Amino acid sequence: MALMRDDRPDQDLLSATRRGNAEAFAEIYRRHYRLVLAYLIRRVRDPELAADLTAETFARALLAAHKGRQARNDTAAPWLLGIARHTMLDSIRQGQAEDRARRRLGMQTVALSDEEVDMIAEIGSNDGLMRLARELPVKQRDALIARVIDERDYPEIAEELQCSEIVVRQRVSRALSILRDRAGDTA
Amino acid sequence: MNAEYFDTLEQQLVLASERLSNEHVERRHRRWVGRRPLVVALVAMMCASTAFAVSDQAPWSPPELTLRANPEDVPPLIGAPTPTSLTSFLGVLRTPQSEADRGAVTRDALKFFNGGTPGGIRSNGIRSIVFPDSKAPALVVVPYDEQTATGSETKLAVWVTDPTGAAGGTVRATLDSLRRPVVTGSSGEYVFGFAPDGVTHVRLTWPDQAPIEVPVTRNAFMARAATNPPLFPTVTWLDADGKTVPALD
Repeated sequence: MALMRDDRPDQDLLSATRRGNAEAFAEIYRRHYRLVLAYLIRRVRDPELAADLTAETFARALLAAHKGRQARNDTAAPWLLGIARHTMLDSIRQGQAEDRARRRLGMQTVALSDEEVDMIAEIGSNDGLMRLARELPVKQRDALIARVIDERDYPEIAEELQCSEIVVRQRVSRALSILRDRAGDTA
Repeated sequence: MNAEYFDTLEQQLVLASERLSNEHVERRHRRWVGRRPLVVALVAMMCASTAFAVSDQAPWSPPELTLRANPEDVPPLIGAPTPTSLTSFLGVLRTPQSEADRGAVTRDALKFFNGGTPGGIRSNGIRSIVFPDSKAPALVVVPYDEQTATGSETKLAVWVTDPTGAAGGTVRATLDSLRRPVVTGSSGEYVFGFAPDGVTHVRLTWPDQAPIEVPVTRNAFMARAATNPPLFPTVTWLDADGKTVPALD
C-alpha cells in the first residue's frame, strides 16, 4: 500500500496524525499491525476474532491520537499492545468483540477470506511467531517474547535471563524498534 | 504479508483520520465563533455589504438557513453569482436556479449549514442533482466563500443524502479537485464525483474488478461501489464518443 516509506519516529507520526496528516497514521498501522495481530491471535486463538480486535485496537488508537494522547516511547508498539490488551479484555467482559471505536469512526466490518484466516492462524503458531522475530538477536528475541507475548513481569524475566531489569527493558525496546523497521521495509 | 483485509483496514483508517481532522476543524471554528460573536457579526456585515455591492439580485433566503434559534448559526448569504472559475466548466452552475433546486431535498440539506461558512453562502448558486437510479443518494451543491492566504476563494460544499434515510453529510470540494477526475465522496454503498462540461459518462475502476461506466447527470456521477466498504475507484472522464477527457489545466 505504501508508496514511500516514512522514516519519522512513531511519536512524530502520531503528532502528525493529530495535525491532520491521515497518511501518518497509515504508516503507524503498517509498522505495527503484524505485532498487534500476533499478540492477539496468541491469546484469543481465533483468527476472525483476532482480526476484529486488531481493527478495533487501531480504531481506538486513532481516536486517542486525535485527542493528543501519545506513546511514551520512540516506538508506539507498547502503547498499541496496551490498547490491544484493553480491547481484548473489554470484549471478554462483554462476550463479543468490542466495536465502539469503529462505529464512532463509521468503519465497516470487513470479512476475512479463508486464505487470510489460515495466514493469521499461522502467525499465531510458535513457528509463525518465531518467523516474525527471526532477525532479532537471540537475547532481544527472548526478552521480547517473554515480555510482549507472554506478558511476564520485568523482574521475573530479568531473573531468568540473569541480567538487570533495565537491560531487559532495553532489549525489549530495541527488539520492537527492529520489528518496526522490518515492517517498514516490507510494507 | 499481503492481505486484502488489512489493506482495506488501512484505507478505512485513513478515511476515518481525515474525517476526524475535519471534525476538529469544524469544532475549533465553532469555538472561535462562540468566543467572538461581535467580530463574526462585523465580518458577516462586511461580507454581506460587499456582496450586495457586486450583486444584481438579492440572495435566496430560505427559512431553513435564516431562521435559527441561535443567530450565530445563520451563515452570511451572498447574492452575487457563482464566479466563472466554477461556471466556466460546470454547466449545472450556469443554468438558472429552478424550483426543483429550491425543493425539499435542498431545504433538508440547508438545515445542516450553519456558521461554519463565515465567508458566506452564494445561495443563488445552490443546485440539487437527482440521479436516474431512484435508490441513489441525491447531491445538493452549495457554493460558499472561504478566506485563503491569497484572498477569497469560492468552493463547493456538497451535501449528499443518505440512502438509508439518515440525514447525510457534507464534503467540501476545492476548485483543484473539481478539475481532476477523482471521486469526491461516498454515502452508504455509493461513491460520487464531478465532471466538467463535455463529459457524458465516467469509467470507474476498482482493483481486481471489471471497470464500470456510469452516465454523468448535471456534471455529477453517482455509482454503487463494487467493493464493500465503498473504496474509491480510479475515475476516467469520457466524452460522447468514448474518448478520454483529460484533467483541466
